[in-house]
Amino acid sequence: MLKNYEETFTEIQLSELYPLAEKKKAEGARFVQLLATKLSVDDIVLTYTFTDEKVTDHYNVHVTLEDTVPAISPLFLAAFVFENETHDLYGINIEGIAIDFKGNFYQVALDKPMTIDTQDSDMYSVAKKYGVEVDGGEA
Amino acid sequence: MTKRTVIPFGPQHPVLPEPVHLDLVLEDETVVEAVPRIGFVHRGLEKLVEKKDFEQFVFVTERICGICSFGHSLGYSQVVENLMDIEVPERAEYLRVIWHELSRLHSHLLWLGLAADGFGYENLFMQCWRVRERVLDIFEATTGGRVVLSACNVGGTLYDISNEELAGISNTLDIVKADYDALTGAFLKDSSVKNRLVGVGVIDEKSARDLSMVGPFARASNFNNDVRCLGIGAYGDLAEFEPILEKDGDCFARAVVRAKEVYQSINIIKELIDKIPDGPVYNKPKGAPAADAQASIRLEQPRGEVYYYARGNGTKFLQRMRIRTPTSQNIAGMTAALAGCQLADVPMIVLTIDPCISCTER
Repeated sequence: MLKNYEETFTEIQLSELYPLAEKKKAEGARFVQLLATKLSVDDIVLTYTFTDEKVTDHYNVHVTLEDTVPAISPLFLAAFVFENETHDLYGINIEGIAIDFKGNFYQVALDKPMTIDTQDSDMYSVAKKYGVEVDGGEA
Repeated sequence: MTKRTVIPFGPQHPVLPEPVHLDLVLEDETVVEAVPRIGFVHRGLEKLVEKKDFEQFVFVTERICGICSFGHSLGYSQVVENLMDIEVPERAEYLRVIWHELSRLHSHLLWLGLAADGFGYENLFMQCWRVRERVLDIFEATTGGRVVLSACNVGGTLYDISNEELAGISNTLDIVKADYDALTGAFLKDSSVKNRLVGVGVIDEKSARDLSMVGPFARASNFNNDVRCLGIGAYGDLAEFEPILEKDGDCFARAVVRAKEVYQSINIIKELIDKIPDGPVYNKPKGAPAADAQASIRLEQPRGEVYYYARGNGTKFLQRMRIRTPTSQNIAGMTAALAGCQLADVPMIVLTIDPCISCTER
């Protein structure tokens, strides 16, 4: 543990997400960020982070691509950037985003690029598999 | 009803060093709504963590941004150290904060120059950047690099600075301070500058909190979320740390916060140079991050709080690495600051938020 830095990680259900955001808003907490992590094909973790400026609190929600996640940007406007990003890069359905770019937030060559497995292959073979032109290789 | 017009602003604009686009909805000359758009230079660096091991990736993170280069390598190193429970030598903690505060000096002097250029003071712009050159010279003398330093690594720092060199840095900062004294009056007292900045793009304290704003943008609205207050690393050894806060929440207040933080950074560096302990600067990490281990860290970069997250998978490659930069957090605040302003004030409002799109798009 880093000196003078406190953090918590809590697992919550998808149904608990919006009530949690409402509670954090009422407490005057600050929204820090939202990130997604792909653990397997049907298990993506959304990590929501809030802080009271002392402790950094993380809440992990496990979802699949079939789930619809309620947006928290109507409560914390700053979240709209991350909700659009999570939709564009991971394909997560997020409903009710305060400023919704409907899949056009990032100009990316591939659909759901952050869900592609690249661990055991080089970028040229990945690009070839997905039909993307890459300079400097035989894609 | 007044006819509404939509004016596109950016991604290429003289006041924007990097590409961000705004759709400005106007009624006459008044902006009633601003819709931001980024995504022009998205690089997918977070995905690259799957191809570079956790020690190699530190050199990728410092290439995220040319201004916050050292800060990114520091934040990434700290989150991996937190993940793997690595103890960093005390001297390295001091050196890290010294380089990091030098980066803040370099960033704020760069911004003050850009702001001067934005309101038409070409000579002031050049003077700010002349002072900044001395900071870049310190980087070059201590690391060999002026932009990408490659000085920080997981477990400590790759270079030491001798105590004689540190004394020299302290003397150089005395010269920087004297040169900077001659410039601050133009920012803080000049009536032309005030005419351009006072009362423009106002965000009050409650709105700053609701919009989760960070950095000098938030502190200018009296919302303190300066992570240095937590006392992480060598910040915890400072005799005292008082964040710079202003109450007015306008463009002028943001300039004042940054102008004062230059003095604050000089004082922090000089205090740490006086206190730095002797000893090693690097503790080589052993093993790999454990599967499903997760950790985060928050760090105060020149533009505001940066958040780093790492998750291990039992190999030398991380399962996930996340960098949330201050600008991505401040985009909501930027749209709020623009609502209700005059079209002619848009460049100054955008500039005083100090957006870094390269950081944001990673």
